[in-house]
Amino acid sequence: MSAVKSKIGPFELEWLSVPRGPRGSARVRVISAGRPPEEFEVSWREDADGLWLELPSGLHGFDLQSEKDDDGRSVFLIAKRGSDQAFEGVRVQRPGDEKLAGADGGKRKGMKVKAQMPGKIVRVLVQEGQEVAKDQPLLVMEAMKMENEIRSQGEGRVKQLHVQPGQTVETGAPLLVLE
Amino acid sequence: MMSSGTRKNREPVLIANRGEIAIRVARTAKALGFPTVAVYSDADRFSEHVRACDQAVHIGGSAPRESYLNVEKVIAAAKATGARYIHPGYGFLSERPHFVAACEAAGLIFVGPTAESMRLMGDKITARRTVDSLRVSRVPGSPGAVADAQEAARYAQEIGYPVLLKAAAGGGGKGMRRVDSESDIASAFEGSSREALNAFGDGSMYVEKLILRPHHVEVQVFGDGKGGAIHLGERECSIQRRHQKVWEESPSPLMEHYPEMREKMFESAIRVAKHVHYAGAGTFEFVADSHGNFYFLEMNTRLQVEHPVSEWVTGVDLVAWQLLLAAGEFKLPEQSPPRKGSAVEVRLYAEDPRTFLPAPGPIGAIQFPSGAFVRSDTAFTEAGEVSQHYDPMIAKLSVWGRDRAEAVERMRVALDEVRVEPTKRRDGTKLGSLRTNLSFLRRLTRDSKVIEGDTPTDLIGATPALTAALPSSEQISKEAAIALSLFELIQESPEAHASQGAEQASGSLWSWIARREGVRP
Repeated sequence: MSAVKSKIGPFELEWLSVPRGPRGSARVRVISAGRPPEEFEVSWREDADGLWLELPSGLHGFDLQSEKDDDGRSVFLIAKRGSDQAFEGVRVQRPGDEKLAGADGGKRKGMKVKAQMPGKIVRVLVQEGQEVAKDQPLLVMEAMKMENEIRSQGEGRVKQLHVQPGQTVETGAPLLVLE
Repeated sequence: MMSSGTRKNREPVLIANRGEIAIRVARTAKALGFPTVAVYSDADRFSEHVRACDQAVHIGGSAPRESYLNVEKVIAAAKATGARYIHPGYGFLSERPHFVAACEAAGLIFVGPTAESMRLMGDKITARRTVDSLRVSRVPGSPGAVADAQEAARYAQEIGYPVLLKAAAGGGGKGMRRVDSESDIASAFEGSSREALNAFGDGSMYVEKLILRPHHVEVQVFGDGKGGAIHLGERECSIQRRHQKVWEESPSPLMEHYPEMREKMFESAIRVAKHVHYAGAGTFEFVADSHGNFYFLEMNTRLQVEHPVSEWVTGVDLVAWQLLLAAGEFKLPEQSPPRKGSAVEVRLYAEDPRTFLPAPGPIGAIQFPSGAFVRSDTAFTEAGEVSQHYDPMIAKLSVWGRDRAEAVERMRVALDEVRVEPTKRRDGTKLGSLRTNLSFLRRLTRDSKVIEGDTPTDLIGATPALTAALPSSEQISKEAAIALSLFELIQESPEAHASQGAEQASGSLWSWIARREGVRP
């Protein structure tokens, strides 16, 4: 079987045998700029929250969780167990992903503002079509008995408004779209 | 009912609260031989505080006013179980004089101060009058509640901006707004008054001068209800987000520079506590500036969330003192207990670590630290759910050290041991919206200002690195990159679907949550 490649940040990883199953071992080649390529054996054991890895540098445990971005691709949070080491917003690039990755910085469809928590819309401070500045309050939401102002992350125009005062929203519900 | 060993037969104590504080009270009550009664709402049917008590009574719906705030239901539960004492914990009914009166009318003993001293000190406006009469300095502001935004603006003009608008019935930062200029005061008044009305059923507001670069220092007192009172040292709780404490410690690093100020603060607190014949545990909150001035803010007529730090340095179990006082078996020591070493507590919340907005949700796996001089107060020890109906605190972690530096180092290590994972699919996809402030707390223990003990209340706002995003792909370690690549590949392999190991773990959790949801009426 041919090698499987993926790229994460500065590291290109080339699996010489395809890793399979909740436990096992495989050989990987690691290439990163400015360092000579390395090749070594990796053993792993998967558990409910992530996996344990045995590398030449020792044993390491990681917890992993992922969320889907607007394009349906997984974005990971990975934390080393027993330490404060954690990385968020991590994406895995695979051969064939280049087009998607390239489109990232291209034209933007508009920025969805979503509810960060369940709650009730108390006031809507903007109208459709209105220009807004960065940090301008857009809505007031009540959650956990506190009123929270939702502010604009950047400059733009309110393209669509999805909520009205008094409405109850769940986490992730679209509130408005900025463009 | 559980046996209380060889100890004397005491009458039961009903704990009118939930979560970690209900468990904490139950532990001491049991150790002293008091049988314990829990109350619970629909959302808490399988909560750990229910299991921590000898018996448990359902008192209504998930919304606090249908259960934990419902005086009639709590009293009925006490009568039905033969409870003699009611311990209110903190929050909920703990500072409601009408609840104390209702307990008395029902022949129950409220574990705390009398309704009278609660009225004198618990309401911020009457408390100000009380301390004024005893010449304890307090922050300049309106003498009482203001009628409307215009009156608030008049006082603000007089004392000078910036000012704080505060809810008379408030606490925990709810119904509180900083106002920097006259143009903002009308909208701030409207917003905070409505927030106060929703949270406390009372929208009255007062105006106070805002002290710049302030420190929050509070004095723990204990009164015998007969005019005797002692202090149990101070706590500094200056590190706050959204006006809510997130890191508390004793002794106060600021007061270490002002020993005379500390003694004056103790003396003021004791003078007031004696004057109102205060019974039980109470806290006097002060705001202190960096020039040796302090001003009375308010009194909390209950056990505080952060009481463990005082327990660490004094060796006193405050709940034991409360219960024994209620049972008529307590003799107040003539002097304050000696204080030893340094203690730090942090609050682990289900909230976004950058915006501090609440982010409750289901917990898949959870792990707390242990080891010498490490304490975890929590109601979560296995898969469960941080309910959106209640305060999103997951746990309080506290540590003791011979000095502050040792305590901070110990906290750093303890926090690195903590794990809180959301429920996930096997491929790592997060289910629900749980986030925690764990990464933020870890950064606190590594922050140079925190390590030095130079922590005015604006520390978090003034230190953007504490709330910066975590490092991402560009900074990822080689080991983490290998783990992620491997994790993704093994999810795609055919064996992933055949193997049941990890899937079963999360599957059983989900059926457990489904069962939980299923039993809700």
